[in-house]
Amino acid sequence: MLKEITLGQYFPGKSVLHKMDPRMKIILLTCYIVFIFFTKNYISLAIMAVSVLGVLTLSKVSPKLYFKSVKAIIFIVIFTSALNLFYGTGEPIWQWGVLKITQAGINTAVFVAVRIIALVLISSVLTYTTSPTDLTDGIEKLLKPLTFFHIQVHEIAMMMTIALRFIPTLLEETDKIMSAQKARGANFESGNFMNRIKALIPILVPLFVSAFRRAFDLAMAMESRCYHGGDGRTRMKVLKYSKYDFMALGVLTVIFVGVIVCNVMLPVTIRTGM
Amino acid sequence: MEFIDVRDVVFGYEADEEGKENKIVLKKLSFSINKGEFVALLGHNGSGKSTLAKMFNGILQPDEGQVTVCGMNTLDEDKLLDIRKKVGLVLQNPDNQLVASIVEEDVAFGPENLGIEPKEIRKRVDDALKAVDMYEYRGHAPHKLSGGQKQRVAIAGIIAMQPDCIVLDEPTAMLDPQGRKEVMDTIVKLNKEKNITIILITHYMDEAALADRLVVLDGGKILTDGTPKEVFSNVELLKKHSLDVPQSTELAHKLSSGGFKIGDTPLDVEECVEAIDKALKKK
Repeated sequence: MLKEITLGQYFPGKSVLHKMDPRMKIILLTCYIVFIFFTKNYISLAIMAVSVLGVLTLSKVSPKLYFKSVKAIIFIVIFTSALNLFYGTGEPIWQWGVLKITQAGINTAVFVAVRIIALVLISSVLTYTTSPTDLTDGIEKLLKPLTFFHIQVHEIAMMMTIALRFIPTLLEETDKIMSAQKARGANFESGNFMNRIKALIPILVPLFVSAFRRAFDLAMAMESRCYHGGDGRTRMKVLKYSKYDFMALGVLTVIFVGVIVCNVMLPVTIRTGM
Repeated sequence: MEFIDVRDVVFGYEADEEGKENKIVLKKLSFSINKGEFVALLGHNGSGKSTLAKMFNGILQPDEGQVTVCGMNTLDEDKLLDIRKKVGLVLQNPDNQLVASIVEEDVAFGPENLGIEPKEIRKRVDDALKAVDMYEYRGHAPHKLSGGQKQRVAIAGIIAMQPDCIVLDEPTAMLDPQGRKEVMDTIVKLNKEKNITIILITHYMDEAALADRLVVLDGGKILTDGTPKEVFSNVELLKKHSLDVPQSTELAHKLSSGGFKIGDTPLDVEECVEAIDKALKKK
């Protein structure tokens, strides 16, 4: 059961997006998220939506997986859209008691739905096409300037690497402990909410004890392998920007400029940021 | 000069809060190891063998006495990195010593810490993985490997740092027979082909029999020290300290004491068969 869960799901492949440098992907993703909230009319929203679909096809990851990630948030989308639908200002198109739908309400509802879905899809592309190690490497490199403010960027990246490494190990261990407790008659499936929470304690206690034991061992192993922080440390794989990165940068710049032009030239449909 | 020298080492763990006395684990221990030797450290639980393993590269430091590696004292903080470059440590649980989520990146961890050029790291990682026969698994995730494979990756991680000596603290204790064989074959190969000094801590007698030299610890002191044949020929002494001998050795010993004299001390089944055969022909 627990083995099914994988954080930062990565699907190896040979697409253009897989070949891109993680740093460029992270930068472009951030810009993308910002621009998705910059869209002010349907044309610019459509540009963003279409470009998201374009990126999805480029990733060559099965569409099923994208459906899955959207399915996970569909409730949030429906809920926020519905809420926005009834909170619009202006002339009501339809009214029933206190509930009224206005043109502005419909606009906000559509924008919110498209924005959230686009956000989730584009973030999924990053995790689907980037291996966890590349991702942490990219984050470490991008945050490097923060060392100026005495933020321990290398340590944070190392923690992420180790966390990613140990997630499957600890999940496996949780499975084992659960089986062991079940064999002793523990019951995790029935009873009310409080009872179920209480039933988790006999799992968490041994899990924590073993996690600490593992941590001591790991620290010893790392010290034995001459780990002494980020100073003077080199990497086997050096991140390098390729032609794909510059192509992606070029294409997305064009899209972003298009969005800005649309916002400026065409009438504004929606004023609120969200 | 000796490669590793342990001189009058005393070490105790601090008392816990229940107010028990300090537990002295090593009591004035002295011995030395030469370059290229394959030494097995034997002893039952609490004999101090794991504690001793962590002394060789300065993870633990002696309370009294000293441990020197190529003349460098483990008490000298500035020398610790150089010592650890020379002496690698492999622990019991393979899961707890792998750092990265891809095999080759884990093997690269040590060389990366040493600040080696990326190209050279790549070469060392490939060589190390080939040396432990794990090259085709270089792109795998460690948690999908078997115990024996994980332990070999851990050994590769040490080899990639090109140490002179590898200390292995019960590397096969958590493995199945197949995994144990894989790891032991790798260790023997490294010792014979790459001339790496091996210090193997184990409580499997058949593994210890593969070594050039056995050091038997008991209660924080050295009980005996010699070649496997010398040590295992003294079956009575080992039994008295609740240690086993390999089954073949025990069989030969029982036959001898029962009146059927077997001259040699056989260490494995083949030697045993040969020795019995020889003894039969004499009659």
